[in-house]
Amino acid sequence: MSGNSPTHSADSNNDNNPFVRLQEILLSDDRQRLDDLANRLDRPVDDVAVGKILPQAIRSSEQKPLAEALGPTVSAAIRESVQQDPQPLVDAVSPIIGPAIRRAISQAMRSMMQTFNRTLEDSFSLRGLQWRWEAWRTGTSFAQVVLLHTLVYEVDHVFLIHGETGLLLHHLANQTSTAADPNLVSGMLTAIESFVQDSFGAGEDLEKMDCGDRTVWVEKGRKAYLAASIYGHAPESYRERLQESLDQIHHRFGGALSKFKGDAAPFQETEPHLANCLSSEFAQRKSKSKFVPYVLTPCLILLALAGIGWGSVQCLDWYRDRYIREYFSPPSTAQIKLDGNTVHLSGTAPDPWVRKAQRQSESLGQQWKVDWTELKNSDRTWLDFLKQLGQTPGYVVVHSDVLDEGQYVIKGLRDPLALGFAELLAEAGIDPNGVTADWQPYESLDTSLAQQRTLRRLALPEGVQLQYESDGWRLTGTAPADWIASCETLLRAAGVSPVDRSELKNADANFQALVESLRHEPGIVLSEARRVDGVYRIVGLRDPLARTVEAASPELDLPLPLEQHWTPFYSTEPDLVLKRANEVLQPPDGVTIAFASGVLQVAGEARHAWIRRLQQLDIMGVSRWETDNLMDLDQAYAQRILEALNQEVIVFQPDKTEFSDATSDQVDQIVRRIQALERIATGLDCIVTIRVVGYTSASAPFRPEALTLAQNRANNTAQMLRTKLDDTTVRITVPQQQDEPLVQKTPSVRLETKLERILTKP
Amino acid sequence: MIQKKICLLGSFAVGKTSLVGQFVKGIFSDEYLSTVGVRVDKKSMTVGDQAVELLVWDIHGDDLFQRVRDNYIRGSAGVILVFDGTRIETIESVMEMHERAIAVLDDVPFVVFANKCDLQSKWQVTSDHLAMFEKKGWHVLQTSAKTGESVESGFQFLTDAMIAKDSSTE
Ligand SMILES: Nc1nc2c(ncn2[C@@H]2O[C@H](COP(=O)(O)OP(=O)(O)OP(=O)(O)O)[C@@H](O)[C@H]2O)c(=O)[nH]1
Ligand SMILES: [Mg+2]
Repeated sequence: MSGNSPTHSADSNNDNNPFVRLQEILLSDDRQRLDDLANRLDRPVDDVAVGKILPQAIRSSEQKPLAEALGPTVSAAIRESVQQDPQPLVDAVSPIIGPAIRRAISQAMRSMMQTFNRTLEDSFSLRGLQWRWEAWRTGTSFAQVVLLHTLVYEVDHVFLIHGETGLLLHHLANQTSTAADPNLVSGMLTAIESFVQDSFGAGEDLEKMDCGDRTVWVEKGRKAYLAASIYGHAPESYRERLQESLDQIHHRFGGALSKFKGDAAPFQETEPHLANCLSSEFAQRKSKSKFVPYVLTPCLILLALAGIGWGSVQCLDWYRDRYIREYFSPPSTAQIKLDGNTVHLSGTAPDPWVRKAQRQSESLGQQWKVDWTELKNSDRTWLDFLKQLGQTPGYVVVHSDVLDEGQYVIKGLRDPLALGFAELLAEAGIDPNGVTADWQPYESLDTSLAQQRTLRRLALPEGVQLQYESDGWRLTGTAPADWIASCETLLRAAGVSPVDRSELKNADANFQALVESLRHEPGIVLSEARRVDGVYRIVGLRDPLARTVEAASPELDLPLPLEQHWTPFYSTEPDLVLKRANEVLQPPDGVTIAFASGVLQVAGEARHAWIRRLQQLDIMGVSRWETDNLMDLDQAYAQRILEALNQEVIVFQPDKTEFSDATSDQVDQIVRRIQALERIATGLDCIVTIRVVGYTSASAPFRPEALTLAQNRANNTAQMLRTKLDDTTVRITVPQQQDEPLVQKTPSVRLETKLERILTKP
Repeated sequence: MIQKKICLLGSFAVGKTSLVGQFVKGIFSDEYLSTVGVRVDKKSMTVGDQAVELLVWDIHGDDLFQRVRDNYIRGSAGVILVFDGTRIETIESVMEMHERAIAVLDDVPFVVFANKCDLQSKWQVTSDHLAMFEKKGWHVLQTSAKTGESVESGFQFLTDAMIAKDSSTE
């Protein structure tokens, strides 16, 4: 609408007016200029022109009033911009502010470190030694201070990683180290970093991470971050180095970082910055070897001093012991024992300590040996346990951690039907006091647990088994008829369908069958059999020797639950009487017993002691015993020996009263037999009586001395026997011969042996 | 050489880890070890004469206990959405993960894998499903981590798309 002003268009309407035309001819130039001017004035401000002159105007204006005038507007503008999106402003400002703040902090840190260093140097002096003593007395860990001496570290990898994508921009390693693919490392680091941020809220950055014997330090910037893998203990000042390098990288490569689409080539040039984080700490590493003399020196001085005095060896040992203890400063769960130059470690200790101690032991000096075999790494046990737990049905570990105090924390889900956590811990040998567990209940899908759960929900009657097999659900066992009738619906409601119940037995019918068979069972008298409140109940009398209900009907699936109430009684059923007799008599081999109409027949052969017991027994249901066909083995044996002895003829020489040589074997045998008889006799409550009778030869019966001869022979024999036999159980007598001597074919002695019952005392 | 982060998203046990295993190492196992967190793997590809290194983020399955974190997805130049063709309900998770991904990533190329296509007898993907995807303009491949079917070509498709997108925005 700029061209046609209203004035101009009015004029063109009056084209034919001669005055106007004259005006036009005369004044056309001026008119044109006037119109232009009017035009310019009518138009709003020319922004282009103002834009051109504004910088110039500001420059030439007085600074103070202008600043005053612009102040409020500028702050409002900044506020507005921050409200909309703070990032550009942060991007713009942080390269300036970040280093400034850090410089201030590091200044403070540095001065602190210096005071610390002085203290350490002083430890060479007498004061330093005193200070050690004090540390011991107050129980502060000497090793903690020693650790400060040994701030030895080496950075072996530095990664520059793109923040958003986690892609590797550049990587530098020292020559000696090898590592996994840096691309993967940076990806995983980013994943972990994301995890940390998500888990612990934004603003919580991952700063340090322990990986085996290395620590990874992460320094985060706006668009990229640096990760350094460090062996040993880096000082906090190392973080400043990381921050500085990262700042410079952001500063120089900010644009490239924003535009990064996966091409890492431009970041090749960050190498000097990464090298700055990598190489410069090498020199310090040498101090590692200094460590041993450093700490040992005071010890050696003391050792030397102590060595002067005889008998101070004990004190030396104590010092060494103390030194080693402080050097390793084991956790309370681990023990240290010193045996010569060998350090024995035992008990349990967390992994970081074990690693630290292993590293320290390398610096301990050649003469020392460290025995690790007895030391248990509690973290490893814990990890193994976690692994195990991961495979335990009904457990899902969602989070696990080790707190600084060595307390293990585990969180997750646990199926109430799973194995008890306390038992699992005990099995793994982990102290439950060291574990804080937080289990939320859940229902596992593990088949064994899921089945248990289904079964629990269904509350199956006792006696019913529900199994899931490859081809579906199957019911077995027994169930009451009414349950069988309704089970289909019940199970379907619980999601158990289809069900094969061809093998499920009707418990009611089985109960009837059971009762029927019990009515005919010897030793059982039923008084009541019915189902009360879902329980099958049988009441009655039962001989203790009767078959159990289960044994009485082996082919029957018993109805469940089955309640039995039995009163014991003695049945007179022949079967049971016989059983009872067997039970009581315990007949030995060779004896048979039979029972019929009240009479117990015992036949065969048995030892005397067993037979004698029979007479004292009273067996329920037995009215009479019959033992005619029972042979007493002892008696029979004794009888045989008696017969043999009584046939013996001990032959004497004519006119002699001494045993002839030819009979000595015979006499020995006779003695042995009598001894055997003696033994049996005591079992039979008898004693052995022997009459020793002498005989003269038929050829000289009437010689006057014949009688004396015979008598003397008998006396001699009796005498001989008495010396060899026990006179309390063997009575030996010699009958006094009077008128005429007894005559036999040869002069001899014979024995008349008998068993004689003695009355046992009551 | 150029690097690209891509990620696999989908419900649990659909075969994300198996697909990566097949793609990167050419191996497959019947065992199921559920992923916790993330695993990063690497594979070199080429598009034309351009070498591309894929950093494959195998992210744990999305379920009620373990929601996939936006931070894992962030920075991806491409996304593979996986569902299990024998458990058709896992399609839902694909829809959900797609929304999450576009919220975090703006407009990056993606491809859908209907996995386990070797299990023909249990296969539940119908032409209706495919038509539904087609209507949305999504590229769907029927893959098998077991036999390797369409795995390589699926990853290649995504890589091509990512490179094409780069050159169109430059
Ligand atoms: N037959 C067959 N089985 C497969 C295929 N892909 C995966 N599986 C099996 O499916 C199961 C799950 O596979 P994973 O690769 O662990 O699944 P995922 O998606 O990584 O699972 P999460 O990590 O828990 O999210 C395993 O038992 C695999 O063997 C496939 O293409 N065909
Ligand atoms: Mg997985």
